Amino acid sequence: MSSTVWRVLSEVYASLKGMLRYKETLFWVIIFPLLWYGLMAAIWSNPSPPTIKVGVYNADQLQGPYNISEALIKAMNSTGFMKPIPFHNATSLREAVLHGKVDVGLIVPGNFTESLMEGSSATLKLLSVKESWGNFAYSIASSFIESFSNEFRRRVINVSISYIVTYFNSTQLGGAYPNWTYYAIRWLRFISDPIRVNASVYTPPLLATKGGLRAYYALSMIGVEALFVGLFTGALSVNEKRRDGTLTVLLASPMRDWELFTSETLAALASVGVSAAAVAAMSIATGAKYVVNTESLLLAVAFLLLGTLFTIGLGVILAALAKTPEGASALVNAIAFPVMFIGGIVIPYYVLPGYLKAFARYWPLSRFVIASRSVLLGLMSSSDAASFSIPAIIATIATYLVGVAIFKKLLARALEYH
Amino acid sequence: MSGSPPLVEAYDLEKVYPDGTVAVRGVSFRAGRGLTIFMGPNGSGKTTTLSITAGALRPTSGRVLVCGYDVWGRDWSRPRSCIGYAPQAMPFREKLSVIENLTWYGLIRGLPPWESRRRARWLLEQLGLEGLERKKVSELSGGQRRRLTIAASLIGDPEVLILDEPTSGLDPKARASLWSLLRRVAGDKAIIASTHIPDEAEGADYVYIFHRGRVVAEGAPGELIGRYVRYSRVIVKGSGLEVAPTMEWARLVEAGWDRAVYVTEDPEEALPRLVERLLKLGARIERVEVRKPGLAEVFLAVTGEAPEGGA
Ligand SMILES: Nc1ncnc2c1ncn2[C@@H]1O[C@H](COP(=O)(O)OP(=O)(O)O)[C@@H](O)[C@H]1O
Ligand SMILES: [Mg+2]
Repeated sequence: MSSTVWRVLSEVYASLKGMLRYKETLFWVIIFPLLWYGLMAAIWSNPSPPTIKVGVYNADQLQGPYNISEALIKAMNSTGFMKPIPFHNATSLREAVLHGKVDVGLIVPGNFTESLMEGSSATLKLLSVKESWGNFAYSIASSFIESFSNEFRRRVINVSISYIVTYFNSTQLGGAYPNWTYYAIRWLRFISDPIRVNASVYTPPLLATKGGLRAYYALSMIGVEALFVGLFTGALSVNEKRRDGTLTVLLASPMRDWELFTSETLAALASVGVSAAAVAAMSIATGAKYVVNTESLLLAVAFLLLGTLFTIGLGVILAALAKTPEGASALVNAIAFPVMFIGGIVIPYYVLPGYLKAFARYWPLSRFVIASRSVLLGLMSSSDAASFSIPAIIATIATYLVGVAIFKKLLARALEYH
Repeated sequence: MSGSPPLVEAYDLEKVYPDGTVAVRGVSFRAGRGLTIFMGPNGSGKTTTLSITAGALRPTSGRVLVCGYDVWGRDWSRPRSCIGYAPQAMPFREKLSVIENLTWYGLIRGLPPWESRRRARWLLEQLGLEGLERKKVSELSGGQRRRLTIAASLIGDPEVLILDEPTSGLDPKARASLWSLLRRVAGDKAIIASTHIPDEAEGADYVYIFHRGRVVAEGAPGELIGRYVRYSRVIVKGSGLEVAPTMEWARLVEAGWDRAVYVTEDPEEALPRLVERLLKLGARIERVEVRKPGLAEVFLAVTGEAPEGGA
């Protein structure tokens, strides 16, 4: 029994020892993911919200310290997420909106300040195109204007109240009807501020912080390693060993077919484990933040191991399609590179277009990566993440078993001729 | 085969490769403790037979028992645990050092790593490879690599060693010393080895001669020679030898100015008479060699074809 243990660990021994000795392997398992991690952490370092470009044609006639349109534009600029860009006429602004040079257009009419000063309503015009981003920009801009308008009303009313208090009360009329002033002021206060906001400040979700984003990319890199290491292990497990003669001595050794496959599997898991450890250490050293507890760690590790099992199984299926180790490697690259980018592993899932999102959701490795991120970034509860990954677990078991069956077939063929 | 009970028994092996090549047919053999050699030219079926016996190549039909277990039966591990196999080109992992390669060979046989390493060190010492532990296998000389191959086949301390052309690529002197080293290190294990060089097979306890996928003769070397070859060769060197005649007790097979070759059944008797006769005919004799017949002659006698590498 114990001899079985050593036999199935033989490949782990060979690959870990080889990794230390052989610079190239070391590069792919450790340096490559660290480089990628560093690159991504640098490119997408800030979880900044997108800025909305607001083209403004300001025709307001009244200039000077009381100009309310200027105050509006200033306030817009100070939000940090809206950037007012001045235009000189309405036509060029309309063009810019149509061609997407600005996200939304704002036209301030000539009598804007004047009307407001006279106590009559003023109208602003918002231009936008009817598509998802345009709608979004429109709603942001209009709700900003709405709140500016509320603030403006509040101030006007407060001026009125102070006027009533200082001047009206001191007159004869005010002395004769004290209750009237009391109710008038109360009413004015009510319409100036019908609903008040009682602020509570929440900490942002981890993903919206720098540390969280770093953790996100670190997990991406571990996913990439699982993708490549698993596929290559599976694809070359029989082919390459057959070519270099190792398979002959393995077949003549006491190792049974399942021991051979287990040995290959464990070696792949060990490689991914080494990568994962390196990336995790590097990410923590550079400020990545994870939600760490026994449950989240165990689940994340399990998800990533399962993801590797899936790619190993798939790799063996590719081996059956190729005649030579080179052919198998080419197939692996043809699949792994695009999947790395479109599978929601390297490029964040949330920026993918809809149809790729669907692919990433159902590609088992991506699902496992998403699930492991979700638990380690606190985006999903453990039980939600577990049930989210169930379809991927089923697909993995099926793929791995097909891989085992093909592996046995390939071994049986290898026994027929060398 | 040698005197002890057989550790390896093969019955009626046949191998037809997927492309239709019949590599071996009707091959049976037995091997006990000591050195058993498969001798035959390239393509005669030695490698095929050895890989079937070692459990690396499935026979089309026939049966092999090693240590009492059917190599191609239900129990996969037991017969293979009993065998140490070295194909002609033993695969070593280029990313691993000498000692790591041996350790890996130990692991695949189920030895724990510490045990594997301990035995690897011991074998390196026995085979004169101490000090090379940390080298890459690609940095070894041909002879060192051959000795490492033997170490790798011995790591699991198997009862049966199966070595395919263990001396290939070596010069005659290195070959001779490798065989004696092998004998010494392997102790009383059963060794089955192959060679295409008849001279090498003469050191075996028992020989199977392969020809076109069949065993055409078997026996201890002396026994085979006695059975198939009655003539010794007498080689005379000197000058003026073109006059050498055929005689009824010594048949002339080759005559040149500086060399004449006779075959005779009884060299002790023929030699003085032959020399006397040649001197009388005016030849000058510098040297006379009597060459005892060997397995090369046996091969020739059995197959009617000259063996490659034979004299
Ligand atoms: N994989 C193979 N496919 C087809 N024929 C093969 C294969 N391997 C060996 N043979 C043929 O089988 C015969 C025996 O070869 P082999 O066992 O290698 O002989 P030896 O070891 O004595 O040189 C040869 O004719 C060889 O060409
Ligand atoms: Mg051969």
